[in-house]
Amino acid sequence: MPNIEDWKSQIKRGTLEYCIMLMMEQRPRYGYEIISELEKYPMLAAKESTIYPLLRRLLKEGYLTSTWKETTEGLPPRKYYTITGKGKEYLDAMNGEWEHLLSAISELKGKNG
Amino acid sequence: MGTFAVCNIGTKRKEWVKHPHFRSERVRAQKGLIEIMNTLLETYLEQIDKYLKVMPISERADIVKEIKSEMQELELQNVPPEKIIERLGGPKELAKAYLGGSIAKDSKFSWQKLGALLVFYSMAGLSGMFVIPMAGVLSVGLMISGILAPVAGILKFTGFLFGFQVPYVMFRFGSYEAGAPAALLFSILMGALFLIAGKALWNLMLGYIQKVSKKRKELQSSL
Repeated sequence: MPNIEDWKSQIKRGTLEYCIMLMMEQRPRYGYEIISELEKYPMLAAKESTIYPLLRRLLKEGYLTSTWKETTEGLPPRKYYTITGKGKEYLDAMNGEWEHLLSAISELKGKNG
Repeated sequence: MGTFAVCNIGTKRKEWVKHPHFRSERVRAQKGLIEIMNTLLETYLEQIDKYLKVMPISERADIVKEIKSEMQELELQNVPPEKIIERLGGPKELAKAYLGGSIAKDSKFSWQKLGALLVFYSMAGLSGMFVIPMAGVLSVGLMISGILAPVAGILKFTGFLFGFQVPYVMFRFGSYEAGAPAALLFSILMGALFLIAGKALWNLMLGYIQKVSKKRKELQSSL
């Protein structure tokens, strides 16, 4: 039985940032929302200890900004993250690299088929 | 929001904590805001706060507030406190993930970061500066000795067979000097011992390097 878990976690680690930025492009989101959204995909599900520090780093690098929305209608305060202009540039660059990766893989697969 | 009603006072918080009535004040503040958090969750947040001591107060308060926010989201979905804790993982691990991230990224210098860095690398980095070169030189030295010793022994023995003294080559242990046949035996034995010791030290060093680099990778990948 090959051990695929190691490889999967490496892929996850490498793509999580991209996935989060893709989600942020759609609309502002809060941390728990991001985590539950990712939970829908077993390949991307990640723990709080991964997502929160990652969001913090994206904030520090200026790809995201954040604002606290204090309690509304019995909901807890939520920290909303929003993509910045710099973040959009970053995402564009990642989109480009992702295409390169995909075409490289499909080319390699083609050679094998 | 009890903790944060207090925390948000910001700079005054340190005095609050030191104050003997801090706890009861806080409980009162919580009751005033109706919402009383489960003690299990409350303790968890306090531990996170404690483990993040090296971070600036504003950043730390923000982190705790965000974790608390998620706890409340889960509580709204009727997730029991035990399950919430289980989901978040150990407070130490969660705090460490934040620390790892703040150290690895953001290259600006600060005393606080230096402190955190020293804690993280005191095991791996600093000791490595001594352990790796020392062990490296010593193990190579031992292995070379392991080869040289029998060569010298054979040289001495060959000289003995052909009836001449090989200068500078002798097997000495304190005041005892072995004759050529004994010297050959001893030198082969000692050579083997040196080789084994050198190899063992080498393996030990490799293991150490692997462990250190694994730790560093973990540190970096904790984002």
